[in-house]
Amino acid sequence: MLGPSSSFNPKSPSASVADGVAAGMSVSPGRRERPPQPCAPPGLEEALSALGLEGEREYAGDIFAEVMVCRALPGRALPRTVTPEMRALVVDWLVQVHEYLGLAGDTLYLAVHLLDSYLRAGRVRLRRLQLLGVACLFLACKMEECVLPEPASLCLLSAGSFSRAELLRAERRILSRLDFRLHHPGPLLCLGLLAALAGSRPQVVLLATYFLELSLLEAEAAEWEPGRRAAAALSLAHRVLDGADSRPEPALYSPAELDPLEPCMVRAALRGPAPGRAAVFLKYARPQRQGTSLAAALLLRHPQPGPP
Amino acid sequence: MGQELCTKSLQPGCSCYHRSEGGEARSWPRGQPVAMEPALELMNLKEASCSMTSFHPQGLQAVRARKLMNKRPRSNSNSFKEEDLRQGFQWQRKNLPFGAASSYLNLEKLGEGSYATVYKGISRINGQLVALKVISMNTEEGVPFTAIREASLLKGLKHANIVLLHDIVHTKETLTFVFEYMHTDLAQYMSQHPGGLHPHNVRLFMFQLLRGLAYIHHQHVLHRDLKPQNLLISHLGELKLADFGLARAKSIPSQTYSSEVVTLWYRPPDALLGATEYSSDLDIWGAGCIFIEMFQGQPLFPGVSNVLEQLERIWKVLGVPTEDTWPGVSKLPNYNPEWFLMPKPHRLQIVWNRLGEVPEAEDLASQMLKGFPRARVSAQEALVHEYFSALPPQLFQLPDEESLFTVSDVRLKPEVCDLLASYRKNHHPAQSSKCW
Repeated sequence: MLGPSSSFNPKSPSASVADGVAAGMSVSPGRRERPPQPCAPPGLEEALSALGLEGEREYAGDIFAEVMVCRALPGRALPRTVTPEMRALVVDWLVQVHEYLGLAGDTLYLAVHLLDSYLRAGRVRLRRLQLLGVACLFLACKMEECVLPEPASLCLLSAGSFSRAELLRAERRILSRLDFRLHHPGPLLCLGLLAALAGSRPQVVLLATYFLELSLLEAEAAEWEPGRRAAAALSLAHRVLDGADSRPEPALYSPAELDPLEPCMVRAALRGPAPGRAAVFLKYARPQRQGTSLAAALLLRHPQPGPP
Repeated sequence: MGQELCTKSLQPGCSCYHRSEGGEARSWPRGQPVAMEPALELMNLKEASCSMTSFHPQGLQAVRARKLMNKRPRSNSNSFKEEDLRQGFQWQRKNLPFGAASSYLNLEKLGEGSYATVYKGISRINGQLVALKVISMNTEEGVPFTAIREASLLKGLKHANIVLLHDIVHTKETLTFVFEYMHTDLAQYMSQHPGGLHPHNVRLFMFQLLRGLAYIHHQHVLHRDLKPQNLLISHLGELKLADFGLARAKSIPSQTYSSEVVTLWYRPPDALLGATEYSSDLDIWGAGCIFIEMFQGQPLFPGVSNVLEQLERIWKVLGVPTEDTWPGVSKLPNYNPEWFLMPKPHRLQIVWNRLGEVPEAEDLASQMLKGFPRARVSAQEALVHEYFSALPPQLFQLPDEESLFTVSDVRLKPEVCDLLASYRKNHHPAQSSKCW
């Protein structure tokens, strides 16, 4: 009989899969061709347990490899007809709809991922950008949520600018263009894993979640791997709260890899509730999120010298 | 939030907008369905089965020539050479019949599921038999979420023991998933061979089931609905996991899964007790139930109508869990403290006698049927269990997409009732066999 403790053995074959060395059935063919990736760090099984995934300790290495090295979207970000501002406007509205409907965090990241994938795969009529966005959210709900929002209520939330039939047609079109490849482990799980590994305080995690969500508004963020994006948000949150020298351990990415991602998060956090880009800021200003966005703007303007 | 976004206002120049609209008109025709496809229903099944005897694309031409169609369906797959087909056949363009996609011919209905109807079909592209899962669109909610999850997961899974999704065909009213055709499923196979399967075949089926499970668990996908009906079997004896409609990627911890998954008989006690966080061990319990069912020829806990009854059946065999054997069990929603009156646990082979006839089978079964989820063996570990040491060593080195039956000398043994049937055939020619 194998007790639960035996799967803690760090030499178990599945834990080494992230190095790409294990052979045979334990490695999927797709994984071999992936670029060099951060190795599964020690303490991964415990980190998974902290996330309520203790049943997956056996496959910890696989899960880690899968979520951390999930590839970013390739190629040019937006079709010429869609400017970053238009995309931001739609994403900002999706953030509001997502919050209003009380959906899971992953659903929002998947919706924006689907939107970006669709925009990369071809052209889109500008008038239909909002319809496209909400259809992506609807599809993301079908992937992630137990209870689906009513299509009629989604139409209502867009002030009736399209009908239910149009929404369902848009859904079919997205499925067809993306060839049903909707599965995407988003950066939110990466953030949870990294924060559990680093033992980050809840306050740091909340701030990092805010930074990560701000990055949704940036078209260029789709080109960053989810793991790197989450690591950048976490590293930034640590430095904002605990002083310039603090970085989360273990450092899976070098500062050189993370630093280019941070300016856009800092910029967005300092911008505050700009018209058309206010949703994330306002969402994190609410008391249930401890006014994180207000505190972040303050701390970024007047950096704290060291840990409190 | 209730607003119509005006992205137009963000447009740098107005003229640009008009140009783009003209340019876009083709790529997103408003008011036009995604793809309108003509129907092609095979009216005469006899005709089709005749043509199946000469199983060659040309042999089908006679049937096809009379079928009228105008357009090819939108197909997501590039795995087939569509151009060859276009040149190979005459396409007539009048009297459009009504219905399905033109690359595949529906032959006969195989079954009806909760959200789809499955037909046996033939691919017009390469003449292969296929299973067509025709999903009708829900006018309220669009594409069923089960279809979306199944297709998006299967797109990422390529393994000899996972059913292969060849193609997806979009039409106006329906969505058709084109799967490889499999001869039968384990439920049918067991009902055709009553009284339990040949121990050699049980081992081959079980090895394949665990191989498929190990693969999907490594890809962090849970099947969540294991039952004999969802295990397809080819005429060679290849076993493939199918029906991923309830499956999902398990990497998302923020959300508790609905506990309303897995047919009651194959549902593990933790899910029955109301636990909502479960992982790959959910599938292991189901696989363990199927393992013993193959030996016995009977479901383990049949005729159970509700969750409590099912739990009591399980406790009768495993004994009632305590905080010592299962930390945290008493905090689960459906836990009943009066259960301690139940009898002591039994050895599995006392309850299910045929387990005792095969060395190591009981040990593997008992490791899979642990009440405490974390104590259950993983699929990967189960594959190297002593029970499988009787198999040729090459089977443990097979690449993912290679079938067991590519190894020489790996084949099913005839089931007892097949032998009986051939005996009967020789002696009583009038009696027809129901076994294949």
